[in-house]
Amino acid sequence: MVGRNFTEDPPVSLHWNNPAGPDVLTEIRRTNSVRDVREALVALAYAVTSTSRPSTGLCVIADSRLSDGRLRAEWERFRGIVRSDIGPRLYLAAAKNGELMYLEGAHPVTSDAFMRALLAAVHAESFAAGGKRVTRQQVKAALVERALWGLPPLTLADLRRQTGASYQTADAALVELQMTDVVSGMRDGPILLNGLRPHLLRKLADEHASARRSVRFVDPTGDARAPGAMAERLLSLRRRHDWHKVAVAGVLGAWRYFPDINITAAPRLDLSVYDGDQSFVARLDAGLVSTDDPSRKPVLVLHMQRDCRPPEVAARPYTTAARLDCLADLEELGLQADAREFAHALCRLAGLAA
Amino acid sequence: MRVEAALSPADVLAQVAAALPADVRGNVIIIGSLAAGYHFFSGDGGRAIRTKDVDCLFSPHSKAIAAAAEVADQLIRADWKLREGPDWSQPGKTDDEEKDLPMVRLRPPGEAAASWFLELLSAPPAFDPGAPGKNLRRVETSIGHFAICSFAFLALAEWRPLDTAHGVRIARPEMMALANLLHHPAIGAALIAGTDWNRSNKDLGRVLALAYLAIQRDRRDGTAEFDAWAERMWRALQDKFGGHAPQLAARAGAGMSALLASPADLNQALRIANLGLLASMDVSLEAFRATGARFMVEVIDELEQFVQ
Repeated sequence: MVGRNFTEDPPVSLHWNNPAGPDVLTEIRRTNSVRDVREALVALAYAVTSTSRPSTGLCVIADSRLSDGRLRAEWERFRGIVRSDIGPRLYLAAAKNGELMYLEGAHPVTSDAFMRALLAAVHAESFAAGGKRVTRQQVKAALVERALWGLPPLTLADLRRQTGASYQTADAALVELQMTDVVSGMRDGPILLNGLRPHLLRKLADEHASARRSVRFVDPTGDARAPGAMAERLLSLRRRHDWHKVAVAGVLGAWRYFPDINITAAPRLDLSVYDGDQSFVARLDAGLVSTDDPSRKPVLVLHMQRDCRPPEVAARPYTTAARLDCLADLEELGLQADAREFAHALCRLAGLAA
Repeated sequence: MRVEAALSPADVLAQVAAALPADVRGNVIIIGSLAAGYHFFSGDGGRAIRTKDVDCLFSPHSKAIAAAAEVADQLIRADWKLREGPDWSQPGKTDDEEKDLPMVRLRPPGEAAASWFLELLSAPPAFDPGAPGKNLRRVETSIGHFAICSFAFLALAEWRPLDTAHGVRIARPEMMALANLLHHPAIGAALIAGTDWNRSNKDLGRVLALAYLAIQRDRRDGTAEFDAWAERMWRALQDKFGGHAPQLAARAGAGMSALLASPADLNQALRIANLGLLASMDVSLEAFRATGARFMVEVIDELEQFVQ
C-alpha cells in the first residue's frame, strides 16, 4: 500500500495507494525556508496531475521554524495562483513533535493505517534529513567522546568513515580544534586531543548542547516518578521493547560515570535519543505532556541528536549516554560547579591533564 | 444537587466497626468510598471524603444472609434508624417479592442530621457468565423483611481484603477499580437517581480517582503499589473467575477507553470525583486525563499482557 517512488509516477516522499478513493501523494519537507515550501507545493501540484490513477496531494512541512501564520500566508498565495481544478486536491500541514496540524481543511483520508504510515514517513524524513548533514560540531563531538573514553585515536580518514562526514567538514572541524589548541601536531596521523582541558571540554559541551533539539515534558499531576525511578522504569521497559537508541544522560548519567561526584539531586530526567523516535515516552509515562513553555518545569527532557559515542561502545547495549551529552546537560541545567567537577573528572579518567 | 458533608474516613469506620457484633466483624468487608478514603487518608486528618452511603459487604456468600440479619437486628436494637424516604423507611412483608423489598439502609443513632447511612450488601455466588449481574436476596429481621444486593464483580472485593485497626476489613483499591471496570464495559445510559449523573461516569471516574490517589501515595511514600495493580488484578481474576479470567481481562479497559475518548463524559466523571473521593484535592482535568493515560498504559496494557 505504501511506496516510495515505486511507480513511474512522479517521485514524492510517500505514495499511498488508496483502495477506497484517490491515491494520496505526500511530499514531506524538513525546512525553514519559504522557498522550499513553495517548491514542494509546485512539485506536488505537478505530481497530482501526472499520476496514472486519480490522486490528491498532501504537503507536510516538518519541524520547521516557520510560523503557522507564515505558512498560512504562503498557502493562500499558492492557492491564488494554482489552477482551480488542482487547488482543491491539495492540502498543507505542519508536523511538529509527531503531531500533524492542517493549515486549512484536513485531508479526507484519515484511516489509522494511513496516519501511521504518514507519521512514520515524517519521522523518517526528519531523521534522515538530520542525519544527512554531518556537521563540524558532530565531528568534534565524536573525536572528543572517543578521547574521553580513552580509546586509541583515529586518523582523519577513519574519522570520516566513522562519522560519514565529508572531507571538508571533517577538515574544518579539525581546524577548529587546532585553533583552540585541543589538537596539535601533524595532520596525517592519528588525531590526538592532547590539549583537551576541562575548560575547553566545557566549551565544547556548550556547543554540543546548542546544536541538538530538545523536547521537554511536564507532568500535569505533579506526581510523576522521581528521575531515578523513571530511569529505572526506562531500563526495565527497554528489555521488552526495542528502545536501544535511548540512553540515560544528565545528572543520572554523570553519576553513572562517577558515582562519587558531588552533584545534588537530579532535578529531572535527561535522555539522549539517537534515532529521533520519541514514541517510547507514551510507555515510559503516558501522563506526561510535551511543552514549549519555558516557564513550566520539565520532569523529562529528550535531547534528539546523533550518537557521538565510539562505535565500539554504541554497538553494545549500553544504557548511559555519551559523556559529552551528560556534561552538556549539566551545563544546560545551570549546574556550573557540578559541570566543572564532572569535566575535571572526565579529563582525569581519560588520562588528559585535568 | 445536594453536596454531602465532609467525613473523616477513620472516624466513620471506627463508628461502623464498633456498632457491629464482634462475631460478624470478620465477615465484613467495607467497600466503596469509605474503604478508599480509609486506605488513602487514614493517617491524614486533613483529608476528608464526601459520601452518603457506607457499603458493607458480607462475605462469604454462604454466610451473608445470616450475618446481615444479625447485624441489622443489632443495629436496630442500638437505635439505628431506617433511612428516611418513601422507598426505604418501612420494612417489607413475608409475601413481598424480593424485588419489592427495601434494601437494608440504616442511619447511625443520635444524629438526626447524619449525612451518611450504612448499606448492607452480599458477596456474590460463584460466577456464572449467563446469570444476571445483580442479585437480590431476602433478609428476615425482627422488624420485617429486607433485601440485600450482590453484584457479580463484587467477588473481587473479597480478594485479599486489607485489615484495619478496627477488626473489619476493607477492599483493596485495585479490586474496587477492577469491579467498576468490568461492570461498565461502555458508557451506559443509566443515570443515578435524583441527578443528571451518568452511573458509568461516576464509577469509571472512581477508578481514575483511585489510580490518582495510589500514584500520589506511591510518590509520597516511595512505594510501588500502583505498579503491582495489573498483576494483582490478573491473579484475582483467575482466583475468582477461573477460565473466564482471560476474557474478562481482555475487556477490562473498554469502558475506560470510551470515557477517555469522550470529553463531556470525562468532565462529568471528574466533577463527580471532585465532589466525592477527591473532595479535599480539587484535581484538574489535565491531571485527571494524565492519570487516565497512565492507567491505560500501566494497568490495562499490562493486564492484557497476561492474557497473551
